[in-house]
Amino acid sequence: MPTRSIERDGGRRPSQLLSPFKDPTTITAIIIVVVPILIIVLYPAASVILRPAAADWNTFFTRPRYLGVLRNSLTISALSTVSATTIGFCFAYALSRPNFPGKFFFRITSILPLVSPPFVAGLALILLLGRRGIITHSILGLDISMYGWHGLWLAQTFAYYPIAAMTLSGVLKSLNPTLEYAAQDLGQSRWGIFRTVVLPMSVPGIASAALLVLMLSLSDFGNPMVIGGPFRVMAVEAYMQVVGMQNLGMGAVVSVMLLLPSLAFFLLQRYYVGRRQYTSVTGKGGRLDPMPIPPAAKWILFAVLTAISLFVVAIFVVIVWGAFARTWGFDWSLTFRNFEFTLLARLGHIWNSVRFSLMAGIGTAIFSVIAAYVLYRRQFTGKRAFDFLVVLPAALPGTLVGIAFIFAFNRPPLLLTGTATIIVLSMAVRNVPIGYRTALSGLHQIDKSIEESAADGGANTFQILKDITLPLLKTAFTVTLVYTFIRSMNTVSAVVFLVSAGTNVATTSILGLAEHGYWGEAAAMATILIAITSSVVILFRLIGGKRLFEL
Amino acid sequence: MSGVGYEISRILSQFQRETGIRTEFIRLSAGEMAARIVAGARNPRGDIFLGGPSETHEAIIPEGVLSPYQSPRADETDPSFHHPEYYWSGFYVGPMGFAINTSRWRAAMGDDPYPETWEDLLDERLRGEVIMASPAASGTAYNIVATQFFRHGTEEEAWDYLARLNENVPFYTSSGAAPARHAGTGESIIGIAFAHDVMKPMDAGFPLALSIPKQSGWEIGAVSIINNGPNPAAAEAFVDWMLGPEAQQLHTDLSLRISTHPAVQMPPGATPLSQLDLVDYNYQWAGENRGRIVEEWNERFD
Repeated sequence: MPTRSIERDGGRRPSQLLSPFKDPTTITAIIIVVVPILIIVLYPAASVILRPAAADWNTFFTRPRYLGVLRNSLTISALSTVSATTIGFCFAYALSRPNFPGKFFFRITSILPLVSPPFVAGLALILLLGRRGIITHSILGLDISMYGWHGLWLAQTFAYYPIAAMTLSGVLKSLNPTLEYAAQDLGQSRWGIFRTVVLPMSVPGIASAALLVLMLSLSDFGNPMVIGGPFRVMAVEAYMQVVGMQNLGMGAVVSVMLLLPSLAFFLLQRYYVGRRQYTSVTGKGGRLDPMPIPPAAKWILFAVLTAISLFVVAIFVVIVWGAFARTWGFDWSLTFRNFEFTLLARLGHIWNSVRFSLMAGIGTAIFSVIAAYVLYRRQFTGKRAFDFLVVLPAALPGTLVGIAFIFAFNRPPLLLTGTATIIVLSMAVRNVPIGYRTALSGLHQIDKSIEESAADGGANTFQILKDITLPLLKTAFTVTLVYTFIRSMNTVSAVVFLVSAGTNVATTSILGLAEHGYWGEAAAMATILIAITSSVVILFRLIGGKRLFEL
Repeated sequence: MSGVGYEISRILSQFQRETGIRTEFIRLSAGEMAARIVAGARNPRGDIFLGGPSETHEAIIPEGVLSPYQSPRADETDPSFHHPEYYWSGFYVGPMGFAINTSRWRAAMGDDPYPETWEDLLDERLRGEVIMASPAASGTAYNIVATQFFRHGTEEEAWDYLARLNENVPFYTSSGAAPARHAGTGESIIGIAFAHDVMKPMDAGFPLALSIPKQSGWEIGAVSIINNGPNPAAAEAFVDWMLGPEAQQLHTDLSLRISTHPAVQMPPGATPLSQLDLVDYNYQWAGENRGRIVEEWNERFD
């Protein structure tokens, strides 16, 4: 049965909606949240949508070339979604069962690709499976090219399955084992239980994960740039139009045509799939352990996940190895030359990445917590619109954000092109929805149990705020900060339009090196970037922040 | 600041050491850089456009985004190496070449000699095996395309050649130097790029041979000053420094490009332009017609 969605849940007290105009604190709070969103989301988006001339639209729809690129984008993201979601489901399912061996290892490999920029998968595939790949050429003696849709498919699958695994792990863990035991008592076989209970109960979760992967692979820019070769997708086309030819009108058309499917998937997720999460209604306590996986299935799954995990480990090993190898595929002697290059020539770009990502993290965390608190604590008309506005950036492809910012912020009083601010904003804006949801779910935790009992025990509002609400929001704050930091360190699709001399960042720098064929230098820089982000993740885990990658 | 890639940091740190002027750069393909300078004309963020074929600089002069500057050092080089009104000054020259992956060539072509003419690239056995950049993004690739117009009697013949070449090109990269790397790694048998961009992966150990075809195109790599940039005095200081023999020697040592300055030594292994069979490359024509030709190229092949 459907659960209440966030906004309904927020209004579950007897609804006493006030006009915001009668309450000065509420109106101030709303302005603090809404005005920035209008300026950095809606205004730029509108400037892209209104930019193209009729002739540009006409060109797009009458030239078979552009429709071909659109078809490429939709095809490859559909393929990647199927494969990434399947792998993600396997990980989530295996990890949700008590008797699966090697859980510690698989828990790591299920999220490992998240600590690197997505396009590192593309770079690694060339080094592993390309013409001079260590597996294909050196071991198997083959001579095959990875450039094209097949390489892109593989790269996106490995870049995005962790997102599916994360989304599905929550769903599969919350399945009530009672149902499975009941099905067993009713005489279902183990496969029958999976087919009639586990799978149907997970369908909304699978759909939700699939839509997420679909939006990510559709807007992927780095992998097609590195490994797409002749296979052109919309994000790269928009880049070539804007940066290569300065055809801003056509770039706007292409990015809007990228936005439309993304927006459709987003709305589907929000208004259809999101409302169909199944929960099983039980009394409290007496929860059974999840049902174990039967041996045969267990070992098949184990073999599959081991193969995938080893390949993911190989991706990381090959990047580090590539960073130390003199000439990949020809001269395997080890060298520090690539790191010397990075430290001499590109240290500033890494430092910019760290600096900008940290600023984006702090900004996003503050903003998200305020937005969630306003929605949760204040009663006002237009709550749904408010909620929609805050999560809307999740629907925007990075390419569109990049181009939109160029259009919107290139003249006074909002002259930001070429500044660090525009890059930090582009990083922050896309993480606000996640931060906001994290903060909301933190607040919901309070509502459900603790706060009521605190009130029953005689605590006043101030005490509740001090002892319960703020500590929980502190967790949401930290999680959002770290999560935004990592995502910003690895982002490329929006910033590639916005960097300039003095504000270049590590990802665009690596992408340029890889695109030039400077693999050793690209690998060395990627190694440093991965080292930074994984240290942050490990540090965060060590100080107790376990929830980071279970959002 | 743009153009030259790998070696840029060394050059800029040397410049800072000698003059105390701190610099920042962004590296883009020449076509991308030109497009960016034009787009940012209202609010220029940079002072210098460094590197890339002079026709890429030439092409944006009518947009009013470059500022002429006659450096006291400009006349140390041959007058043909700078714009008559000093909108750009050349600091290196280089011929176009074919990067040939020797092992893949042998496997596919046997004992055939390496290609020596542009027509040799049209061989049916090279289908999908010749990589070049896209002229929309890359100054190198535009130089290749423009060369065909100087080589053929009519524009139709040039387009016809490009169409037949297109049959053998699997995809177009955005960076002009990338095709040499692709050939080096065996991604294709041949990559078309400037000779100095072929010599760098050769030096790095890739199994490449360099062939400079008959009727080859060539470039004058240029530096120019962006109009209304934030630091005009520093920009002039940089151009003066860059055109001097010390900076050019450093640049030649790092990049293997041939300097325009007579006092600078030839890079090892390079052939002086005077000994090559070069096409009569008209930079002014190439610059003035860049917009039109790139547009038509996109229409036909992109």
